[in-house]
Amino acid sequence: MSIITFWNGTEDEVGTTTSSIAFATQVAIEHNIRVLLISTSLNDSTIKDSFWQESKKKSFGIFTDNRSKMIENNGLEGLDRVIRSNKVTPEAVRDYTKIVLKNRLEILLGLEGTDEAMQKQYMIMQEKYPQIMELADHYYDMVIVDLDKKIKNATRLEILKKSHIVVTMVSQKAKSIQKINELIKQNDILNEENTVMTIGKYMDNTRYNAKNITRNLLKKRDIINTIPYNNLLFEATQEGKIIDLYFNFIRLREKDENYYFVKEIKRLYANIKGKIEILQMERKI
Amino acid sequence: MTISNVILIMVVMWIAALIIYFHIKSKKNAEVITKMDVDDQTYTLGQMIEFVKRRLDEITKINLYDIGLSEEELKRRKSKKYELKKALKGCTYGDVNDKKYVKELIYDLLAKEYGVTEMNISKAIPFDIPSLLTSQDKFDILIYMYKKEFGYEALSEMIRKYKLDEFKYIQGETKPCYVITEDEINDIFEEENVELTFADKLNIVVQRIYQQYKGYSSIDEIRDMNIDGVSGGVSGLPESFISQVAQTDSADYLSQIEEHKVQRACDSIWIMFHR
Repeated sequence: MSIITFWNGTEDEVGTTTSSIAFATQVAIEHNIRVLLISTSLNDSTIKDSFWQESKKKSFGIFTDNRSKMIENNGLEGLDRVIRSNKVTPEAVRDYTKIVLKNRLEILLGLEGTDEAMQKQYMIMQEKYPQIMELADHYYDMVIVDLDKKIKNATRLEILKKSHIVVTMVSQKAKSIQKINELIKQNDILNEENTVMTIGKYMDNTRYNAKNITRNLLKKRDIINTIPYNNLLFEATQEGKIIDLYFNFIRLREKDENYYFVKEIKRLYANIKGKIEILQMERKI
Repeated sequence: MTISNVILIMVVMWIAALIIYFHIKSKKNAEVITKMDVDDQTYTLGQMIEFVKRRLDEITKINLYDIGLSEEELKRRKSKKYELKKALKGCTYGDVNDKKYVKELIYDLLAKEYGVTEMNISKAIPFDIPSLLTSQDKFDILIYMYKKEFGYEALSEMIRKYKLDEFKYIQGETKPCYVITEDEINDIFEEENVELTFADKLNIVVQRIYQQYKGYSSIDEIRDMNIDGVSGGVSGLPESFISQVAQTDSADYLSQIEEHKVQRACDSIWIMFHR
């Protein structure tokens, strides 16, 4: 019963989508909760490629199914039709998602299409995301939104406002971190209560590591969250093998070099959960 | 085994492979016609209605058990199919949301599957050549544009703006009456000088297809408006009808009715407003 939005508040590439995929998968596997990952992108197949490999077209003509021009009945496109006709319910949102792990992890894919009509459709459809998020929140235990940069400013603000927790992804650059910290202090778009600043593509073996950034730059006690760069994750997101990867990660021991990555996502989940509990106690959600 | 036996086996196998090939191919074509033969008639309203009927039929009658879905996916696909079936049923009873859903689906079918574009949409309704537009086309365009702006107050707004609710005399009638004539619709259309985008044009075509396929024909949009009632063809005969019958011999009159040369009771729609 919580909406968590992954948002890149800077201009740097910090692997926001990959981080949201890793977080959603780990939470769905480790905890017995229903998670929905919403993609807000246009023509970004990162999420799709992480979970499924596109089947190659069979060369033998009679068995191929030439349905490229068929209307899309899944994802945002199908759901949009239901929304436009005022027939949308939390269960209807469920019907248009793709199942990754039954009763654990589902995905609402974004739009695909390069033509001008699709661009226009995307501009109109993206306004429906806040409504979809709220509806999905009634059905799923956790709704994770991967907020795309192409989303219009007004819609982006609405999504951020409707989110219970905003995971603000930043790069390891001092200036970027300071910029986001200032934004949190302004208490306008982001605020201390519901923002979890997280460094994406994190590297520990530098002077600008999480401990030093927290101590010297942010002047805080709790060490800033990180999502370390992981080679295996990078490979799995391109080969549709995220689930296999995480089933292997379950068996990891502390000595393994990938354990740090899993541990950091666990820490991120614990921090988010803590913030949600405080918000629930204060009856803000 | 002799050579003739080997040749015979090969011929039989070759024929069997051909039969299987054509059987699978014909089955595939029967399910979804992906390649269309585009000709002059392809983008006319009649052909589009046929296409929409066929596709909706295919979508609602597809056997989900044949696709090999998982249990959960089957449940969801069934739920979506049921939703569409419910909407197709509900829209015939005048449910506005069901109508919207069916229209949205028709819109997507025409735009994404049938290939309706800015270039060919005028074959359905001649948007590019106003002189070829019928008064029904003009009314449909006007009511669509007004609906975009005023919602379900569109008709009332149009009547109010152009004072269409005034008592007036029309040709061939001795008594004044409340009537909206074709000429008035033509005048309003000229006055409004509407500019339509492709989405507007397609929405108008979709409405026309919907009202002929599932809706209430010419009153389909009118009955959704904020009015007190609508009636057609049941409120008696126009005065001119009776006088014309008296003047013409009956056989001739029937042929004139068939050719829509004379006004019939069912040619008019009565819209009721309660003040």
